Amino acid sequence: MNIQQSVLDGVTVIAPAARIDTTTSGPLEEAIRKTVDAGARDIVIDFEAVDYISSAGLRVFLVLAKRMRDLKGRLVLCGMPEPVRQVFHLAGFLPLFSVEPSRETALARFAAHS
Amino acid sequence: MNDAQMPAGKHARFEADAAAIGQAAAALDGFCSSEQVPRDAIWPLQVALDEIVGNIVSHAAAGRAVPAFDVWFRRAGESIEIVVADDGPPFDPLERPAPDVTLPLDARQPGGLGIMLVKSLMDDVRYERTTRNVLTIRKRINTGGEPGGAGPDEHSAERT
Repeated sequence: MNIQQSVLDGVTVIAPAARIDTTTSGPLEEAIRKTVDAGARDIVIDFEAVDYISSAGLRVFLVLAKRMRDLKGRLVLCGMPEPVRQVFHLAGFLPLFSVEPSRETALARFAAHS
Repeated sequence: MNDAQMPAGKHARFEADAAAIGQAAAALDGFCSSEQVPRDAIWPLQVALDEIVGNIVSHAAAGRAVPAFDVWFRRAGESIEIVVADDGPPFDPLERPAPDVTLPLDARQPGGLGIMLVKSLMDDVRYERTTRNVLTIRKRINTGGEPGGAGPDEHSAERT
């Protein structure tokens, strides 16, 4: 799967594209794990280019949320298109995450608190 | 399942391995494209099929005998129906208890979310045990009419 990563003012932005499903969630989880292993503690996941997410993808973000909490890192999700937002909502995941409408507002949260 | 019991519709058969998940998704894409299924109905079908096929493949990988499975795609009036049949041991996914989606982060486990999503995103889900496991899912589609809704129904509260 296509995963774009960039670092903006010390915040790592991870932007997966297309589908987060049973097939692609493994490579995505591996990419995220490597980024955290390399020391990233301020992370934004930008869903803008994601078509949809299934439960295999939800699992990736559940694992990431627990790990970031244990590491005292900060995690913000943003840019959720309606299919992604709906699946997070149905799974009751929205209250478990900091969610911002756009990458700009997500990054602003770090600027305000760091 | 013999020929007389075969559901109608576009049919595809897959080996129950990891590659089948992407192949089944591609078959659904092709069907939705040829039937001109509206965008807002395609992604729920894609998520549901991913959950169902992912489940079958993981059962096969766990050593239960599930050599292959069949999928039928069809239009039924104002709905799209997908039938998935596998030869594994009897397994009714609808009997799984619903996960508690109100628990805090610490208590959350990913199990059970898949079938819960299928039930939530589809208008109907039926399990039948013949000589196979046969799961039928149905999603209503809006063909024209007022934008954004087909009138009041039990799912309207989920729409935003």
